[in-house]
Amino acid sequence: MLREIPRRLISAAILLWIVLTLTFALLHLAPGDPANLMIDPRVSMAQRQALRHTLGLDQSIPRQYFDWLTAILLHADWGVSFSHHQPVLRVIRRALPATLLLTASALLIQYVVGIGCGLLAARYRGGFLDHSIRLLTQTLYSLPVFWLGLMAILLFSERLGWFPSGGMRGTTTAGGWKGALEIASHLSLPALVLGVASAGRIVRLTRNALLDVLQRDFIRTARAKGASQRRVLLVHALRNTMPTLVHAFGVSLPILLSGALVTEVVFSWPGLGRLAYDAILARDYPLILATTAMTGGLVVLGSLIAEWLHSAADPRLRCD
Amino acid sequence: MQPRTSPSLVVGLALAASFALLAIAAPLLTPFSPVAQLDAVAGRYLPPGSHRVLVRLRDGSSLLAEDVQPATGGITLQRNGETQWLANDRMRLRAPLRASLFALGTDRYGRDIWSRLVYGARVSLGIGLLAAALAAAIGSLVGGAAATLGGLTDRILMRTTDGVLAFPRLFLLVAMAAIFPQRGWVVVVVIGGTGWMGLARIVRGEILSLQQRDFVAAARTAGLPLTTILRRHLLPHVSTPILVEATTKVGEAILAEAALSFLGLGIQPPTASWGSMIAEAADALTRAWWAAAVPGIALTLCALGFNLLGDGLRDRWHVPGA
Repeated sequence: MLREIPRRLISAAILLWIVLTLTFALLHLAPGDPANLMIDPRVSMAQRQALRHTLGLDQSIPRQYFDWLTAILLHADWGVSFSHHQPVLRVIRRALPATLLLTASALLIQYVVGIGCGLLAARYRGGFLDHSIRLLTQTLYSLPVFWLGLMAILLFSERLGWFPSGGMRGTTTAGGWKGALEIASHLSLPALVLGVASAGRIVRLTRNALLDVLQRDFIRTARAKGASQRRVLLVHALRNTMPTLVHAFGVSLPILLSGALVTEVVFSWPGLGRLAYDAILARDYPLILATTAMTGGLVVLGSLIAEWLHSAADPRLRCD
Repeated sequence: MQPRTSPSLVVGLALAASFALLAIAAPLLTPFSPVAQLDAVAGRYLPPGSHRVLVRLRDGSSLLAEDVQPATGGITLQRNGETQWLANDRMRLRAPLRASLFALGTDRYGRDIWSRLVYGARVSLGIGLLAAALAAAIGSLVGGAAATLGGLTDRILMRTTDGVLAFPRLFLLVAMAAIFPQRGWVVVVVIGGTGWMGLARIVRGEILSLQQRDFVAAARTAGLPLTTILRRHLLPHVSTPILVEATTKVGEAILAEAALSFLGLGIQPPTASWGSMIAEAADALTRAWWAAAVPGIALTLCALGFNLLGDGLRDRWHVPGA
């Protein structure tokens, strides 16, 4: 696995480059000019030209592409955001922790809920509980995350007043326990919504993997040796579903990041998804490209971690 | 093996058919136009189950009154807690008054939510079905080409598929939808164009395993051209998994359209789309919860219908899958 990493990184970098080039081409070939969105339509043509010049938009598209790419490759410089008037990397660095925090919490909730329901469904296979959980997973697949978020705000923030509905400014507002508590109170609702809404896949995977494992010989042996049902399920069977579940983590990540985009918009969570959304609306080219690269990079990193964990969880894979 | 009719299949079919019926018979089922602002002042955010009298005026607009009494030269109406007198010649000539029930309430512009909901089914189903069909077509083409041509083509196509699959779909959707003008067909192309990857993998896998089977080997030995083998021997076998996968894709596409419209990048107002209805109601959650809740329930039920249908078909036709 470790020997594989350089090769995988290179192919990921190539993929990322293709995606970014396509995004770049789409952005620049599409009708509409970011300069028009940034200034009052009444300003003079000369002033607009000056703005286009400072943004570098008056160059030819291949020239802009070349400049953009060389700046990244040679100086790791992703340019200056049109709408934030700051280096893109600084803007992203501020938003990244919020997204990582939200996604990681949602991932945890997703796995806890998913494995729990999956275990129950497999334990009572074919029974009422199994059918109910199956219906539940289908419903989770069908729930629009943004709507679930709004309903959660309505119920838990507005009616019950348990959690704030938004207003998270950044992960670095206050230090110490007080700051942590404040972050946690803001985090709970969006993380729960995102985690529960995407738990359906894990429920189904856990159930099917468990049912598959439960038919194997070593389970019969364990039962014959007098292991209790609970021990068979939690120790013998569940451990053997770990490779499947770890592998699913890599697939989960893009789905979770997609969900994070709408969740961040609904809860005004200051993360990467909302940053990307605002950047797209403002036609902030450098920021769009950088957030695209960042999310792509996160997914690649996540799938590499998932594969490494996969080979750690399943010793049979290590010899390959 | 005995075909099994699962509850998923029955419930899914019933839900999907109900929404299809709503979409087709929309004009017959709705008392109002989905975009008619019945009374922008007194008709805002009426709670579900409100009764009002619709007073239609000569200039084409209308008023919603709580109560109407005949009066000399006109009518008096209770509107917004006040009593108003309205001259006869301001009202429309034919049938100016109509008792109306707003079963699901009204939205911020005084539009009937039930009417918008029913017309919204047209948008959701239309875009969902077309986008799923497009995704199925692209997926079958890519998967079929990869499996039959093999070699470098296969590697390039599957690498691309994995690459697009690894990318957070909503980021792609939002970026593409924001760049292009916001029209219905753009939404279809964008959703279909980012949803074909799973299908491509399934089709490729199916064809690869079919090619190992004896009847395909026999056809090849008989000297049949590749296109004939593909059409006569391979496609009939992969059509079942394609159909099952495409059915669940409909649910996915409906949710994608709603998410785009919610973000303001899909179907544009005033056209009723469930996603944009939720977006418009999001600002007034506490004041009018129903305006946001109702389209979301419809959305969930509709997507659930297609998901259950796909699930039930998969069981019935013994298609292996996630």
